[in-house]
Amino acid sequence: MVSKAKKASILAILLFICIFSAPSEVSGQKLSKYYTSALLESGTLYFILPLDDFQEKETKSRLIFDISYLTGRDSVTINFSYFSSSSNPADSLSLRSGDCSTTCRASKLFIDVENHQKWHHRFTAKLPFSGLACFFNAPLPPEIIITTQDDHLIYRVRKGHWKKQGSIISSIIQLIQANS
Amino acid sequence: MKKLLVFLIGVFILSGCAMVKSPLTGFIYSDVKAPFAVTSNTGADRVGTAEATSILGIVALGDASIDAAAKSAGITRIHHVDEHVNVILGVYAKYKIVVYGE
Repeated sequence: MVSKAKKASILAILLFICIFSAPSEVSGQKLSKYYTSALLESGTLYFILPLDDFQEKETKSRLIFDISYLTGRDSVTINFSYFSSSSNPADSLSLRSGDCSTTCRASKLFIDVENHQKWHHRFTAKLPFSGLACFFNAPLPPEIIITTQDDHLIYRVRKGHWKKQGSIISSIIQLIQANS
Repeated sequence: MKKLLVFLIGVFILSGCAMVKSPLTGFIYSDVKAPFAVTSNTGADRVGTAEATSILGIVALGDASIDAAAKSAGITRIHHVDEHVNVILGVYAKYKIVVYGE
């Protein structure tokens, strides 16, 4: 027979494990959830895992992008995916926030079709590390603009999401700078 | 006693639902990174990922192939590959492949 006290203590232990193993968004220890790093011959390669909080206002389509940075280099690589009804490829990628504005040429990785009306565009772009740091340090939600032959796709992030995401990525950038 | 037994069986059944191959098993929560493959190629400046998810072991979707991960970053020479496993209470499982290369 298991007494009520024993049952309560088992439940308390389970609850304790759940609380302390549950992912916490604000915990500094959980920063590692958002990036990976690999020590290579030429330096340390940092990779910020894909982010998908930016959304286009009209079509509600999301921009998914990840960031790679090899220490010792001036530029970072952004690989990004966007979804559009047009098959026209992207020409450039712009990051705008407050006083910071960085524009770079976009190079095609591949274009895929998800259904008859939705194209998946996968592109890559290189931009200065300082531009990226400035972008993620912005207190106000910034914009990411993709320019195609016939359109400007403007992606914005919600203020609440940016407060969390901006501070996480900014902390990772500080960590990279401290280790460079 | 009977209720506790039912509870434990329930937890056991749930934790066995959405499973994914992993070097370690976490009964309640699992978040494990592990090596998957290494090549003799030197140098890497790009990283690509691909993932697949399972819900309750009933539905599993995604393309977590090395090819998909390499393609997502335009990698043609692979340096090494890691895997990342995330399981929550056997309800939700995610398997991610991370490819490093150039």
